Amino acid sequence: MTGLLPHVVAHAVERRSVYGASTSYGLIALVLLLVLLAEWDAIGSLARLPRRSLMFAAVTIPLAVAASLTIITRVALLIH
Amino acid sequence: MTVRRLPSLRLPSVVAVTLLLIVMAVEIVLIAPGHVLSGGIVDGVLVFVLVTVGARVFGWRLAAEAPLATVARSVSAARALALVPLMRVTALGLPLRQGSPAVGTLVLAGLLGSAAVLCAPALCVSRRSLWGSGSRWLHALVALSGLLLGYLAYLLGAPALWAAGARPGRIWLVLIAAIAAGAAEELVFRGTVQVTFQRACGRVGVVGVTALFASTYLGAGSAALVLLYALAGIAFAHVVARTERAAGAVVGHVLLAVGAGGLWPVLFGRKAASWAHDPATVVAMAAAVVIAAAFVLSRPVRVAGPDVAAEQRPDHV
Repeated sequence: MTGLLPHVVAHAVERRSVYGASTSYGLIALVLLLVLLAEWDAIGSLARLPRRSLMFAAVTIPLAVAASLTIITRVALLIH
Repeated sequence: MTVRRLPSLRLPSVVAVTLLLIVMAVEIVLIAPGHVLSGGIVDGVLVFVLVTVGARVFGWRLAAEAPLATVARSVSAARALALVPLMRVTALGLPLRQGSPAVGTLVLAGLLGSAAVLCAPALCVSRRSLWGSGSRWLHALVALSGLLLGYLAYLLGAPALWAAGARPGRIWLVLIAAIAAGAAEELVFRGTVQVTFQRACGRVGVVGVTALFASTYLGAGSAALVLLYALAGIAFAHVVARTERAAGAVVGHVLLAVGAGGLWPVLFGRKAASWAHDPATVVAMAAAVVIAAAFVLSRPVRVAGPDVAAEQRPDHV
């Protein structure tokens, strides 16, 4: 039992297929990732703020890994 | 070490506490079955607002009304708070399959723990403070309290980490996931969110972040168990509030998780105590939480340290 991944969240994702989950819950992570990357790029072009870049990196890396894992899983399912 | 009381809450601190309450409300809504998707969308918006627009507007609007250091502390608190909704959005984005929550928890713990460590300098929290122990006896005490709290959680019916007759490989995986999850939660909640909030809002911030931590356990099953996690959160928060070091809290949380779901069920069997679901138990736990919270509110917190001077750099806001 952990607050990191509550049963309700795990159950909600598990009971859908990979395709179903990635086009609903996965889409939230993907859209947020793209919006944050666009914002990061916009801020980066205005001024060099290393601290803010660090914050953006910290937030976007988990989202990028989650999105990558979903894409890899979908491709793997497609091949099989 | 400088320990002093904050004089009063300023406007930026009030805004930071309001953001904390909004995130907590979303956590509570998200835990209700059927609201996971809407909760996830709101969490996604919150991450964006806290990291970008909110922090910027917050800085511009309030900079004219409050000292720069106060605004910078509140902006840091708002940005650190983004890690909590990020936790949910990342969890929802993972391709979890039936029977894979242990792997999911492990991946999530690695990602969120790394995020907390990576963004710490951006929030004026030194990475050394995430691992350091400051007053060693205090940290040793709170680490050992994790074992006791774990035993109490076991008596109150905390679920076992693995099913009876599980293979050794499965047991090791679940144990590693529980250790990683405990450490990641402490790095996020105590190491970054609490430290930034206690600098911005003092004792109110400490209690607020502990309430947010407890709200992530609302799906634990019983009210007594949720209250036990709130009590554990207060114990861990108190040590971090006094020292701005998270080592004791990390070890304490890991011992709580491994003890409640692994060690104690193996030693004493898998049955919860007969009084676990009694209303009197819930009342006793609630009283313990209120007393512990009142104790934390009555004690001064560490609000200044070597990292705070760096907050006044103009690029921070």
